[in-house]
Amino acid sequence: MKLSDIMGAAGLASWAEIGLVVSFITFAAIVLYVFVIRSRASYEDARHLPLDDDPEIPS
Amino acid sequence: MNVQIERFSYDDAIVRRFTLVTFVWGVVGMLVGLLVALQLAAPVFNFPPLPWLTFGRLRPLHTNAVIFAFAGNAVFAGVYYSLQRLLKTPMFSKTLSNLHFWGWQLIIVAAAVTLPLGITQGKEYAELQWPIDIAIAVVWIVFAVNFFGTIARRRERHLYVAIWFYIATIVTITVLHVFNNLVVPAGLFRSYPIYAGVQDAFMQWWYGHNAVGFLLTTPFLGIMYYFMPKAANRPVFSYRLSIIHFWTLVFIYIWAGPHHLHYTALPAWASTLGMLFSVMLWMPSWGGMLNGLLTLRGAWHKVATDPVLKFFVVAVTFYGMSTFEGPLLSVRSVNLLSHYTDWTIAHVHSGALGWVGFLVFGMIYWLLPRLYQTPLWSPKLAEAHFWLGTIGILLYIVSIYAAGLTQGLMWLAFDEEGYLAYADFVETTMRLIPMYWVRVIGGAAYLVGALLLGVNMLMTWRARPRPLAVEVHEAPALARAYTDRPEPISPLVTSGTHVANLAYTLDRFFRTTWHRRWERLPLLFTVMVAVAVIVASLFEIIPTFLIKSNVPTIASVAPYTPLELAGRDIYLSEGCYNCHSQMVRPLRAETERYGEYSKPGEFVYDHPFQWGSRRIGPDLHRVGGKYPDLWHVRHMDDPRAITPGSIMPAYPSLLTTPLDLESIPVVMRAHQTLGVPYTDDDIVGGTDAALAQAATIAEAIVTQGGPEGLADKKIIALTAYLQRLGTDITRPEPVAAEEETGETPADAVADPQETSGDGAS
Ligand code: HEC
Repeated sequence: MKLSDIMGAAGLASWAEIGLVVSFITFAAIVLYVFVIRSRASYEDARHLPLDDDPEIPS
Repeated sequence: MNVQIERFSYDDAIVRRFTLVTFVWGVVGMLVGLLVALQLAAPVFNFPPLPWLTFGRLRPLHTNAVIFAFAGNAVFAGVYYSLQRLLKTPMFSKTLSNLHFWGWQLIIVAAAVTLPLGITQGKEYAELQWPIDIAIAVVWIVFAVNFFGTIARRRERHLYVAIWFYIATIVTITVLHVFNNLVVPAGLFRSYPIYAGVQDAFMQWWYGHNAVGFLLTTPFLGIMYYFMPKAANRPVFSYRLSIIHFWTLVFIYIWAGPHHLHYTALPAWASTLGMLFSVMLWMPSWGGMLNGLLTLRGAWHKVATDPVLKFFVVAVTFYGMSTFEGPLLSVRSVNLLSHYTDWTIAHVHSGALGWVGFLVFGMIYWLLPRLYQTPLWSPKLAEAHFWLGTIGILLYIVSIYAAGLTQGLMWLAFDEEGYLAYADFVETTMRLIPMYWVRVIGGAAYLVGALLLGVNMLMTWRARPRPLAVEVHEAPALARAYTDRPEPISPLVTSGTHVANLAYTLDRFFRTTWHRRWERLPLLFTVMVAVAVIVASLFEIIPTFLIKSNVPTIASVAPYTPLELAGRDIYLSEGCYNCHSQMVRPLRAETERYGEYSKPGEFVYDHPFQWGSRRIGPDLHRVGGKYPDLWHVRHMDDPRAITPGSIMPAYPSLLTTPLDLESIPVVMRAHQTLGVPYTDDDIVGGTDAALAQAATIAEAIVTQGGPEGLADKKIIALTAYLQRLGTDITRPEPVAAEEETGETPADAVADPQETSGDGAS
């Protein structure tokens, strides 16, 4: 298998670690953004969306 | 600015239909589950000599029915109901909704017909044959178009977090389904995956793990984040936590796939990585559970009287429990004990019966009065359902956890002289039978509970007003030019403090609304999710596929003979992999019991791999040559005549059904396409070679005192395959082959240290 020789020589083994680190950083950045940078109040509208319905229920 | 108010109504007919089939298929799936549970407690329920109802064929039917029919239809019901309301618009297209509905039901019927007939791809949860897989892809795309079309027509700008979960489901399931089902067909009813051995295993469990994550977790979390606030009439406890919950699943969950293959022949780094991520999954999953439970704060008094909330509370609790247990099972030392035992089955069922099942029941009880515009017929009966179901779950999981622990410990036990304490496998089986009966009772209770839901459904439906009213709703159209509410002015500016310019820049960056706008752009959002999912998958999978050293070749490993290949097809078709593994782990307890541990290089011609996931029977990887041919014939005909106490189904029909000789060249051709080194001459002479080998085996059976006239029967091919299993490494190396492949002997022999990971520790 020629392809595997080429890819093997390309040092792909480290891709997994790179991907892992990139994913981790992105994730950490999102956590930081959501909890530290953006205020809780800015989510209030979205939080109430499911209840923002017509009044209902026959029960 | 004139705001135009638009009038519209939601399509609830489609929700009613999906809800009904959720119930119907749920009952079917649970009934089959009850039957397979009975078969393990008492093998007569395999109904020999009928071939269609054996455990190996029905267990895939059970799993496919509950996953794709019960859970699948429930997801669609929940999505169609909540999406329209969260976006204040009816579904994009009624035609697409109907196509989606009927297409999906047809697929389920096709599954229910083909699986008992033994038409299967032989990979867990991906058993359905390629024509059905194509149908699934088409219907899924119909769903996706309908879904994103609805988003495009929305009257609410912000996408509520439940919709994020739905988007992740649609994207990820598409990717999983396509890549795990890449096969080369050999006729309508047969196909072989393009991957072999280790790689196929990698793909399969990347798929299996993520199907659990993105078909049984994310859509139901979306449902939880919509229906739980509805039922409690309170907003979700923390919206921010729900966002983190979402990104955890997208970023971290995907990476944790390889933990399903601990102690197997995977490279060590891959399973270590999987383990690390599984453990990271702990905290946010619990965050998600707490978020659900805390949504009820101030409403706990309602839980006492409202069956809907009762179901939700238990469901969310089980979510927390199973997401705690999942990472635990991926810890090597735990996995060493739990893998291949009923522990896994108990884990799965606490998730399936507790989390998915109860969430669906809660959702249906909440929906019924709304869909049929009349109060629920009997809340008391719903209450009874809740208690029966809860007792059912407890009986099921307690007994099966006990069974898993018992068998796991027995397999690993050595006596004082250093021999296996339970060398006879069937001893460990017989110990489990009482627990299997308790499971039958638990499962039956759960099923009866579900039937009570049916009664309630029927009676509520009968009490509906005729015709059902179609409510008209009003909302302004989405304005084209949209400006966010201005963010408050930075305190840095108002307070007049002197700070470096960089601080202003950063401050402005963080305060601008780019991210908020970004959250409202569904296309961009979807692409983001897709990229995260695909990138994680690629990084995880590529190295195993492309780096040679990960699967060292073993020169003496040769392709199967034509007859063995036909036997392998029978093994797949009968679903023997549902009870037997073909993977001896590098542990003393296993090498003592089964023989030399399995090497990755031994599976290079296995399309698909057959490592299995549960040892209801012993591992078969080294069974080749262990018994005379006649033993296998007698054992397959009546296992209990050979091994008293065995719970293996009897397969007398294999001794009478003729072997399908015509398909041999077709199957070989498909394998040739996949890279198995059969020459054209091999293929042309395939049938003759098979006949010759069959004659030899049939003769040996007669010599050993067995019946005559088996040469053209299925049992001969199966015996040939079983006798070949795991024998390649003990065969002398072919000298000529070495030059052909250009391997040096050092390459050719697997280095046990490298390939087995740290298995021996
Ligand atoms: C319900 C689960 C179940 C299914 C399905 C099943 N087996 Fe078994 N099998 C067992 C059990 C339990 C044993 C151990 C007791 C015995 O020897 O019968 C066993 C034993 C065996 C053995 C003897 C292994 C040894 O080392 O002694 C072979 C060979 C075997 N099975 C082959 C098959 C084949 C081939 C199929 C598919 C056609 C199959 N089994 C399907 C449960 C199952």
